[in-house]
Amino acid sequence: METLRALREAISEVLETMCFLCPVPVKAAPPERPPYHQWHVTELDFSGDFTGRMRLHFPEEVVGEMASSFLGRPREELRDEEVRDVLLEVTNIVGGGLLERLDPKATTRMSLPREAQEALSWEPSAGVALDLEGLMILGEIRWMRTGQ
Amino acid sequence: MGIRALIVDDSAAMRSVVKKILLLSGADVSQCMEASDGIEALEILSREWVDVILTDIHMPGMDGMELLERLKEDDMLGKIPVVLITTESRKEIVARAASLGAKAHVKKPFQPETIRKVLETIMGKEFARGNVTSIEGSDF
Repeated sequence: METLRALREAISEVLETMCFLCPVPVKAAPPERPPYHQWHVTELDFSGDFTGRMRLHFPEEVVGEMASSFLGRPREELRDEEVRDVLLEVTNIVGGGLLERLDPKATTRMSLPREAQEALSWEPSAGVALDLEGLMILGEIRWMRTGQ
Repeated sequence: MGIRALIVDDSAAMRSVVKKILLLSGADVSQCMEASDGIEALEILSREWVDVILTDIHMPGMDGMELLERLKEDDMLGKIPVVLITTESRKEIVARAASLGAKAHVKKPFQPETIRKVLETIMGKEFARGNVTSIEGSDF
């Protein structure tokens, strides 16, 4: 499967299944991140037949609803730590879904998800955007296939 | 006496989701214990008996595969049914987990109903009716 389609589907599947949200794919990812107030950025690495990194960008305005839906509790009850944990788990599941779609037989390993160090150099080779009621969720990837 | 479950996942969010699914399943779940990795799970199992373990594979510290190995080494703990709830889908990993005693594999993301049905299959209809008296001999 084509990488961008796989990434788009993996993000949509997790948001729909675990967060009960229905994002709409945007045909072309924006060249620059829209100027929302704050972004939550997570990432994980792949190593093996596929080597590289996936990074997800969630606008502040979306993460509360995501965490609330994921955990089944009102937003105002959630601690920042719980919201952060939901984003990392969503990232983990998206990464697994991406690998499963691209090459289920590969021996690629996936790192644990983490908050991204945005100050570090990052040049994604491809990206997707999903619209969630006017707000963008962005997925980016940079990798190369090293295995057969 | 209701079902006693142990949920093992490094994500507190995922533990919370699985716990909620169990408690809302309609089954007589009396206790849901939580561990963030295999080491913590074994500590709990050293002092508590559980009827079922639901565990992730990829965790820092002791992962789910090593937990399965440690459970299999123990005559008593090896009898507890284990359900994998994980992003892992590589066939060789899932097959190895099965050879170590895992009874079922639920791929994340999942529908709540999937977990309920898996537990019903492993533990029998008693899971749904909340009348589990024994888990030995399940033939999943």
